[in-house]
Amino acid sequence: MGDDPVGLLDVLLGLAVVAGAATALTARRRMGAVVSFLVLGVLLAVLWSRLGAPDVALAEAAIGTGVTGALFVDAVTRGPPAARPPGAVPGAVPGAGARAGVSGALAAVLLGAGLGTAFAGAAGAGAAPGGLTGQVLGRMDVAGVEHPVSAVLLNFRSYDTLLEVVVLFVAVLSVTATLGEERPRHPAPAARAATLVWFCRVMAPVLVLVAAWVLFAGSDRPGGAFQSGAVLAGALILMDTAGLGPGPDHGRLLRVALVVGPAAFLVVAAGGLVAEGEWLALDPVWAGGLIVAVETLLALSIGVALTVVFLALGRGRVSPP
Amino acid sequence: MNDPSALLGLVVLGPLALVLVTGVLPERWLPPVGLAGAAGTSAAALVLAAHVGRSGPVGHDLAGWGPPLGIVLRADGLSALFLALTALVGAGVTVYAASDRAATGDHPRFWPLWFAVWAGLDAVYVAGDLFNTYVALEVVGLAAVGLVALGGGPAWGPALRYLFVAVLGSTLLLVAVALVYAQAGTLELLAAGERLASSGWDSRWAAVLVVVALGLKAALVPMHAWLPPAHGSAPTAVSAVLSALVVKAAFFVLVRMWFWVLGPEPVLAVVLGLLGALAVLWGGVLALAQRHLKQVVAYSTVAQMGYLFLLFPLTSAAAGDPEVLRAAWGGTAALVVGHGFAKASLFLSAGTLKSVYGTDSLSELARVVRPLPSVVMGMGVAAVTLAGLPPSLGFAGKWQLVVASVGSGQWGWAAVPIGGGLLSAAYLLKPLTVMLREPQDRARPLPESRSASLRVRYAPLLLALVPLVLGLAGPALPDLATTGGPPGGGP
Amino acid sequence: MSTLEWYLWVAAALLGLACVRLLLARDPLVRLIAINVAGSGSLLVLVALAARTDPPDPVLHALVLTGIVITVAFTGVGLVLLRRAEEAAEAPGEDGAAGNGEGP
Repeated sequence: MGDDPVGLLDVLLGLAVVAGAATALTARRRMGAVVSFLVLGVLLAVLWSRLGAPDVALAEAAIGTGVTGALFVDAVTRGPPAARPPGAVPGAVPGAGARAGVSGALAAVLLGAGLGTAFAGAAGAGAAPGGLTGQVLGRMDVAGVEHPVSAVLLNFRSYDTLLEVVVLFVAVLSVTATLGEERPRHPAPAARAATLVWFCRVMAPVLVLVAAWVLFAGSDRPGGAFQSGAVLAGALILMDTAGLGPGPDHGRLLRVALVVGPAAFLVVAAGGLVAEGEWLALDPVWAGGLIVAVETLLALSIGVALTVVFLALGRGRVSPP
Repeated sequence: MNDPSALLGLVVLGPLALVLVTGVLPERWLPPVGLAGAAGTSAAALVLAAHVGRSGPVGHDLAGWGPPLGIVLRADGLSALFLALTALVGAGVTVYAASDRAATGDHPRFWPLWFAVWAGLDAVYVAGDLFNTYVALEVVGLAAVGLVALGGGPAWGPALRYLFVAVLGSTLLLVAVALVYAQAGTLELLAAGERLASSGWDSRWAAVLVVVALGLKAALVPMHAWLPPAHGSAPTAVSAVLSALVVKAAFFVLVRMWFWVLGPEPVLAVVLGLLGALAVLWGGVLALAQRHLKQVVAYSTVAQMGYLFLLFPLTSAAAGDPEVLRAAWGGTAALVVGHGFAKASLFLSAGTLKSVYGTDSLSELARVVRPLPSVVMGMGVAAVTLAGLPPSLGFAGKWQLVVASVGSGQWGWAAVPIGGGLLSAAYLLKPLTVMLREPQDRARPLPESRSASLRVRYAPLLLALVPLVLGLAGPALPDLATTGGPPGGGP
Repeated sequence: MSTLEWYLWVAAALLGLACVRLLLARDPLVRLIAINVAGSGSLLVLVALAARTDPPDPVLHALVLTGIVITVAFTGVGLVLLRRAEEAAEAPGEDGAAGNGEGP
């Protein structure tokens, strides 16, 4: 695909993405920006599919638009509707806002042009087109899973995945550190609550099933722990919105669920050192089983972590302090 | 352990395990577990550093897969230097934090976040893979943001600003890594560097991206505005870690990318040197104007980081002269280590004063030498290192930089360490004289004070003494820094 | 131009827009959106490069997945900090924050 002249579909898709991004970044009101951001997310998922990256599309839809979108919507509906619009500062020179806008646009164009030149130069003549594709595909027989991306994530480059899970865990630590006093939640009118509760009772188990499917699909087709965790978080967030979510009694449970994923990963890492002489090494005989085990626990921890971040945003207090 | 390469993983995975443990333990267990964990991590890092110093670089293939498919860990002289610095300063700060709850923002979350920062820092130092470096920096960045936010309400704004800066830097770094991968076809640091060098690729754009990305994270002027509010409003132990260690990690990655991967860029090197000189001047002037002790110390970090950027023009103009290269590397290494200890010590001293007297406003801290002589002495000793007076590492470092600039024929750079030393002396003397002053008739009485434990009073002094002692150790540091030196760049 | 080049230019446009808005916008929420757009731009570079081979380079796809998760982590922390700051501003005096109100 790299050398074909660009087709109409790609041009339109690319322009749509840029337009969506521009709308999201220059909207006047916060809600408008967030809605454009959600639309951008859908466009990006289409783009990733077009470029032959179904795992990424799945992750973009579930995590990038799903969870991030939920976070943004929650932040906007609880906060002030719009930050003070530029130009509303008393005594501001009329036209200063427009001038700032023009210079900003100019800067964006210049920066974009510079970056584009750099990218084109790097990907142009003399570039090594193969990358590591051949290497990965050549080792799939000992990887433990059949899907190349999962093999890379959980075997060949598992250290990156471990650190990435740590980043998520650090996020949970940070957001639960800033909890202040209990803030009253917006009371929901009774009628809406009933429909919502019914919907959740139906959807939440379905979502959990989907999460499990996505998780296990990851061994031979697009899917995996991260996408699965995001769907699980969706289920938990939905339950919380209906008032069925984790309560103060569940603090211990949530804490355990958060920790099992990274802990399992560390145990496997140490096991690799003891058994094979290298951290994170997976014996090909056991690789498949270990990967499934670690992935399952990771999906659980990731789902709970994303849920806790969402809950910390909305409430003044989250059960596991 | 017979195979020291396993230590490469231990210095990262050990603190990671501690993150999990301290994340779930009840609060009263945290200080002792934290101290034990810090002791273990420091020991592992020091053993590894010593091994590298004796026997040269060490490598480890993670998950049993060698490059280019898997991720490689590697520690050379530069890694060892930073690992040892982090181990010792980290231990000192942990002791202080275990003794004084206010230093941690009085929040149990300090402990897991601190170990996350430590793990991330070690991961950066032993990284042999480009993308891995990016992820490790993100661990450090997010954990650092979380730590700043422990300072409570006034810290949230600065923490958010720090978050934006950190993410902008990381994104630009990721783009640069993508460009390098596109050209070199591998993510392994050394191999990528070799392939780029042999292919003759014009790496200017990637170098600019890397410089901007890491300059943001290292608070290189003019991208420094986020640092003083963040370091000033964070809890004491956090400020110490941020100024002494976290900003240095960004500098470390810049050095790695510049010398091992991208190759020399003479024009950009001069720009970096000029920005460093500007940082020394501008940071120093702003430090003089501050009225709160923590702000003085924070601006001092901006200024002191400037010296480090002289490494680039000095090495690029050295034209392979081994004496000049050795002096440039040795000087930078000495300044890195000296500043790390002295800055941590200063922030801890400021923290002690704040916790005892409830304020760090300079005008109110007159005469504290009477009740807290150890703290004031600690500040004085730290000032000796920062101002570059003999026999401290600060002096050794600046002296080496002057030698390098004279040896490479670029006399102009010599003005920076010399002039900067005078400025540092000025802005550090100012609070010291306030504290040493004898009481005047109409002087305000000292605010009500709480007592401070022995460890809290003496930890800063001990930290500040290390660069003095090391300064007497002679050429050990330059030798360590250049073990496994950069291709074509080291003696 | 080729498909690859086109998408690299799209990525450059996303990055340029997002970085400028990140630096110049005053509303932290817009800046958080900008972080996400900038992240998507950098990931587009990686995915476009991955598409040079057939089948696409799985290592780059794995890196992109990592990038998405890291971005959501940062966004979450940023949004929570933003909400805390806004809540504190809405209810001054009621907020029991630990800071003693000194210094910038």
